[in-house]
Amino acid sequence: MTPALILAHAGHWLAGLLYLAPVLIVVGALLYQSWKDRRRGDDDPDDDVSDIEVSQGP
Amino acid sequence: MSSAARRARRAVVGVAAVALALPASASAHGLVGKQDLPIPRWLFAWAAAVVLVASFVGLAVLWAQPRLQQVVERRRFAIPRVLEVLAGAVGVAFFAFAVYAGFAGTQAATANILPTVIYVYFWVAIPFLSAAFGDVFRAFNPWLAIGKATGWAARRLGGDTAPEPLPYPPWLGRWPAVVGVLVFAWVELVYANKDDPSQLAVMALAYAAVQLVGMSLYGVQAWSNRADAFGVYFGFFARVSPLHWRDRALYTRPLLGGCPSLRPVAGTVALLCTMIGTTSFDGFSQGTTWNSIVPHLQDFFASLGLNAEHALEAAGTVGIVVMCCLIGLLYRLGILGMQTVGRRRPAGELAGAFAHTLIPIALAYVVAHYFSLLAYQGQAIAALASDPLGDGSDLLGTAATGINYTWISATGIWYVQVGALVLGHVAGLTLAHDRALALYAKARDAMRSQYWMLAVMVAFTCLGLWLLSAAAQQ
Repeated sequence: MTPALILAHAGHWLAGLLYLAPVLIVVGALLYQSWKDRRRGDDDPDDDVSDIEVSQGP
Repeated sequence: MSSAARRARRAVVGVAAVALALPASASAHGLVGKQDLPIPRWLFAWAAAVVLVASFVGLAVLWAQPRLQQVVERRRFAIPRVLEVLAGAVGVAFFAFAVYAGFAGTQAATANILPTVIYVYFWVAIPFLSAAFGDVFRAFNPWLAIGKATGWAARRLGGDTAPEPLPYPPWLGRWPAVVGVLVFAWVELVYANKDDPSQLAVMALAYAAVQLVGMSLYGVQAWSNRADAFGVYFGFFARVSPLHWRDRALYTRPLLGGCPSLRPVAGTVALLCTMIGTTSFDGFSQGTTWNSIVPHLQDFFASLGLNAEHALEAAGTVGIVVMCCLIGLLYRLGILGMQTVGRRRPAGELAGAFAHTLIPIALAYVVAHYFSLLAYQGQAIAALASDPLGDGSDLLGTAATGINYTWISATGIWYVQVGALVLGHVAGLTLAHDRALALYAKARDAMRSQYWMLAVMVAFTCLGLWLLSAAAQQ
């Protein structure tokens, strides 16, 4: 696709961004929360073994 | 919280409530009317995202223990063996008649019953029925019935001398079903002669032949459970249903109760991504974005020596494959995000563990994209059943019955589509939350892992609404 094509259909892409915005907001909030969690240093990988068996059928 | 913040929050919640509480009216698979919406379409995506975030919080607060990992099924009643045989015979007879109509009937697509039966009743109506009533296709599956009957006859005639089937290769998993669904979707969405009744009849026979060969090599049940594309496809949707037909009996279970027991054998994630991707491409191919890209792709393939028709098919092939890959990539991103929480689990293990969460999403996409097709084109069966070959006969006296396009408005269909997408993704989020509680020892890690699934669900919802919106604006 050429740059000219992208510019010619800018209206379509810009309208599409309105649908992308909620995703970007949620991802941004998640990244911020993850960063806060890491700063707090509350990861404890050794304590992450579930004793619940997940059953799976056919 | 400040009063301004409270007001803002009330406004957002109000928009979400209005967006979801308004009564339903039609856009669909090529059947789009004028919609009269109170708010811009993009605002529905925002409202849907708010609903998903609210659902996520609700699950974190109210759903502290896994409840769906081992559901209790209650046996309701048994079904006589004769009914099973009868249903199989009906399926075979119906299949034989549909193929006969494809060859013997008129080759005008709208007058021959075969294209409508395949694209509307087989491909669209059965997923709806499966989600409501369980795996009904399995009872009428014609190639399965023929395979079972052949196996029964071989045992009767050959006794112990009949050869044992080969062990089904674990690496093959559900990959044959992936190929089958992708090829069918390609025929439906890309192939230039998709409506040609005789070609559809040939393809139906070829598919049945492949199934019979597969069953003869690997055994009826082993092949049918993994490799029969349509059997597996409809079977996935049946996992959503509270009804479970097995061992010639009907069992009841909680809604979505069949999803967590999905065994993520090879190809399972690919199949689910293909299911969502092909439906997404159906919507995308009706929008302005694709229609602005496709001439350039078509020119590119024409420059390689393809004629206009094949160049268009090549462009569509690229589109459908890219869309399936995009869906797979989106899911993979969510999985990679989950990997950062707690003990590092292999991405493949996590992808398999959460694969079943894609089932209600695939169903939501089917409902959202094909509801209007079923609502309108589905009515054509009255006329086609009375004149299945399109030769002017009127067997039932309903050959002149038309399609009522006014029973549901375009706006109503939009609300059905939005409702289906939101409900499907909330269901996916619920399944993912429940699986996370079972996988992670600490509830906090389970919730943190689901941040990423929330992002995936919001992305799928907004993508679905963007696709529907683009199709509606065409």
